[in-house]
Amino acid sequence: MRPSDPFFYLFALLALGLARACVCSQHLLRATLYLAGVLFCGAAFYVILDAEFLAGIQLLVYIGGISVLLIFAIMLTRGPDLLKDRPSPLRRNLALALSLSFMGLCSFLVLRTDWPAALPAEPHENPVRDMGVRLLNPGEGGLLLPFEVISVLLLCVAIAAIYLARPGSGEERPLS
Amino acid sequence: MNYLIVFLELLLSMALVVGALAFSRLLAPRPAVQTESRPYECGAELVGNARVRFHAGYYLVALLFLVFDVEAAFLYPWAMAQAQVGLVGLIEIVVFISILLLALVYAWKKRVLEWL
Repeated sequence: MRPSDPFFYLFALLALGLARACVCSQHLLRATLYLAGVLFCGAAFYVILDAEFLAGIQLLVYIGGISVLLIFAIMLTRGPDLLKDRPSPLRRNLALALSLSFMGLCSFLVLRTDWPAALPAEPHENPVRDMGVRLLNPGEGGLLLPFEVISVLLLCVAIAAIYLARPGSGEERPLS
Repeated sequence: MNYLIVFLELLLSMALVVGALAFSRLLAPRPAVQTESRPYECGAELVGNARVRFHAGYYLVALLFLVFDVEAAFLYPWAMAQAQVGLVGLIEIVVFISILLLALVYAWKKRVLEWL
């Protein structure tokens, strides 16, 4: 047992509880906050796996970006609360059976798959620095072109988002 | 890296918040007048819900923020590798940023950044 194992189980338990709270919450805004908690647990898993950069990305992009986007979307809509929904016993049991069978399928696949163990690579002193050097290397084995394509992709995303989400092209036409 | 200290700080900060709320719940007297329990007890009548609707235009600002958020994530490896890649890396990252600046220019032209 590794010293980080208790932390894994702690955060796994926390993630499960928060995921349940997220799905079951009647308030959309609270559900988003629970979702941010689940994402934070994901960042904790990355830290446990010694992937600090990914943990940082998780915090920066998912919690700082996606959650904020969701909260914005909720604040823009009229009814922030879900309709009070009382599912019938049939629906309840059907949902339980479906989710349990999906969980069984996922567990079966995870257990069946023969996960190739990572090669015992020489430990990187500073993996993020090595990644940066590789990303910006224009020569053999470098990833400069994909790196610059990323910025073009982000540009496309921004322009498409503005184009699709704007109400009109020139004149002011408030949506509310 | 040792993250035990980070974890302890997480626990400590949570305990601080929970403790402060619990203590004020335990020690504070129950308000005799209804008005005292309201936020911003300033004599003015509260109007409406705190969950006001925002103008839809701000969603675009959030989308733009997300794009530049991802950009910041990609700047970090460059910052770490700055000593190795030197001037060539600087030029490459300037190209990277200037392509993304076009998005900002487009948003500016489309009056996304205006206060609504």
